[in-house]
Amino acid sequence: MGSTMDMSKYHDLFLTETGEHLRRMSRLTLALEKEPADRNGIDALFREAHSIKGMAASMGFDATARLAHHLEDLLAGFRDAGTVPAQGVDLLLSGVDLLEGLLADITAGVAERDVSILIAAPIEAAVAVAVSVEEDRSDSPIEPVTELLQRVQVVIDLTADALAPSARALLILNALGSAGQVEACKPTIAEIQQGFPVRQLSVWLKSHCSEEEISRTLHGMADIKQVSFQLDRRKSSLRDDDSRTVRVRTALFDQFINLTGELITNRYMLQSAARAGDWQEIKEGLSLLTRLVGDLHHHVLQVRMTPLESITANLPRLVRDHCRKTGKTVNLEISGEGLELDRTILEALSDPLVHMVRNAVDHAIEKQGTISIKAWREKDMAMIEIADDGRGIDPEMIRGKLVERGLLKESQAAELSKRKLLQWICHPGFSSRDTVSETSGRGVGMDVVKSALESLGGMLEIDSEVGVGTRFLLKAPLIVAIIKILLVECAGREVGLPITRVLRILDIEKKKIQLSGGEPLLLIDDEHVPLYSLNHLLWLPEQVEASSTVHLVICESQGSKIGLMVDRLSGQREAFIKALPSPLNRLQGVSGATIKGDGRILFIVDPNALFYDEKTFIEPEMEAG
Amino acid sequence: MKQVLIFRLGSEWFGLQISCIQEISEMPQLDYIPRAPVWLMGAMNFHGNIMPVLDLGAYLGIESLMTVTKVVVMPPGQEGIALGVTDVFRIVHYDPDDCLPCRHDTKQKKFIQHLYDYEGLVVNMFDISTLIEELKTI
Repeated sequence: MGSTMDMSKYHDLFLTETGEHLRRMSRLTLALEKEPADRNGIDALFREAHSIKGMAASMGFDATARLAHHLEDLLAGFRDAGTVPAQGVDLLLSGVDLLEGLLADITAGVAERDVSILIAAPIEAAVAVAVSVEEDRSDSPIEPVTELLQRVQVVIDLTADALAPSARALLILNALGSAGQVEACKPTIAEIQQGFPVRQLSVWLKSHCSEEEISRTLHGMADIKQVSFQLDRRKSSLRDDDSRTVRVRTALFDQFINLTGELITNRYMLQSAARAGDWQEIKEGLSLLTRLVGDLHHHVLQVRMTPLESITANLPRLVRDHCRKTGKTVNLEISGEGLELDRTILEALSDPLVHMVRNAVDHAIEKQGTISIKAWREKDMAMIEIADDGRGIDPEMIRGKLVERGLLKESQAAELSKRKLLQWICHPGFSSRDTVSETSGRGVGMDVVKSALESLGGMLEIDSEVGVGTRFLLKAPLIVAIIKILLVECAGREVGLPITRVLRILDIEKKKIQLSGGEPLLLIDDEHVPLYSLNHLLWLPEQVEASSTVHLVICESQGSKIGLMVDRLSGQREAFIKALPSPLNRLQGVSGATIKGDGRILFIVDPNALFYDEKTFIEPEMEAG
Repeated sequence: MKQVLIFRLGSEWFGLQISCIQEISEMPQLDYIPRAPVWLMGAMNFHGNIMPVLDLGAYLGIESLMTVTKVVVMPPGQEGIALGVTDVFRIVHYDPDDCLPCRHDTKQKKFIQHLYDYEGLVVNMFDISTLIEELKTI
């Protein structure tokens, strides 16, 4: 038993480390493409391949070891020749790809794939192989980093006269299985099998396919009245929490040991002070304990900090491959990769980043251009800017589309500023429809990017100039675990709002609130701010007692200001945010919770998500009309 | 032989295999969960974990205004929930020979595997896996 445990520990380490070596290999190879005679580069690459070979051999992964050895041989040849030929780069990259595939096999616990085709080929022929391997990649099921898996909710209405609706439902589930992975459905499969009279089937699907492609799989099926889609805003749990590992610098680890030692001493001190009833001593002990616990907390959080590089390292390769496919020349500049963020945040940013870079290559840049990624820190926030010098987004085009699609009335659209118009590319009703490349080349899945960011307590800013380029600014907290919250009370219930969401708080006289179409609004600095009752948004009863002042929390939502009316403002505090366990993580608008000093639980409400939900009712109405 | 916990929801008796139970405790202080469905009574602090307490009677539609005095906590690895029940009775040995089929026309049939005759007491054997599966789709 013990020995298998140990092996599995090394197994994880092998996977993590090999992954890191492969990322570096990919980057070094791309550098060599630009400077083929860089001796240091060749040497560094050789060392990476050598490390992989050694580790794979000791773990008994023969194919991986053999391939790494083969790459070593190739590199030795290039070193002797003094330069890497152009085909050599392709060959090395396909070697890296194949190694990634092998790593995926090992991760999945299946037999390693065949490597002989790449090894057996001599250099000239190998280039042909390299090309074919590369093409293979596009439809290989394992393309781990670059696909943005989406969870969609497909709602299928069956006609009322369907003869065997439950049998039909099973067939539909089967068909959808070809477009992705069915995660859940309602009614459940068991219910359907028991002959539950299905009139409407909701399916949660994890899929790469567009909505159109998913609809197509159901095309021609009888008994289907209507197929509709809802973007699933449940937090994605694509990554398995338990299998992740963290590497800790020895120096940091030593600090933990020292702290533990101090805590033990502190405990003895407190114990003897308590025995002696020496209050002064107890007081001192407690203040020391406070400091030690604070230190410990700080250090624990450090363990989770990871440089941005861990998610940007793949981008140069992504851009290169994409350029090849599209025949464009794109220069990718990355700076500030040393910025350290919490792992959870980095992981959540990884897919959106890939997505935005890919979008920029595919749509923004016409023939050639530059994409620059800059990262820096501003107070407690990480700023990541993704800018291109492509065609830019025309706000007038967005305005036209909004009216055309019935998302806004013409008069409403006419009033929108450029900044607000640009925000609309993140609206699911706008971006999930596939006419985007003709408008601006942006927007595919931007709603997903935005919601990923917002679920972290971050924000997305968009700026674009036609003919000059587009700039996205991702603001994300550096540390997810601790955020500042504003405590508010509604109907005697307390909830927290993330301070990052709050623009200001206001107490106003009730009579200043004006009505428009029955809905309250307030004039602040010449701006109409719609007001919403947080009690109402939280499905709580309204406060009965009439008071002449109203407490308002002004937040930004979808590029506009909104005001939340609350019964009471009860202060601010720093809170250690815990992720919510299932099924609580599926409550719309609730982003986390914290345990207060007295052990009570306080839930954190994301006003944006509440508001989003409140607004979605517009869409079906529009579609019906 | 398997053991089951017999508990009460309103005026009905239910049985749950003890392998599905981590802990049984008095009703703790509950905290407000925003936008929770009516059958989620609130959240409890369970050894530093945030755990929602489900009003099982309300969820099953058996008894909507029943009192809840005890919570039955599921073991980790399941959905992290605790079940609020009217009261717990005792843990008994379970003899499959004393099982009876349940009524086919009850609307909660999917949650009741079968009936168990414990010394003349009709016990609904509760199917926790159906509940957990269903919670995943909510």
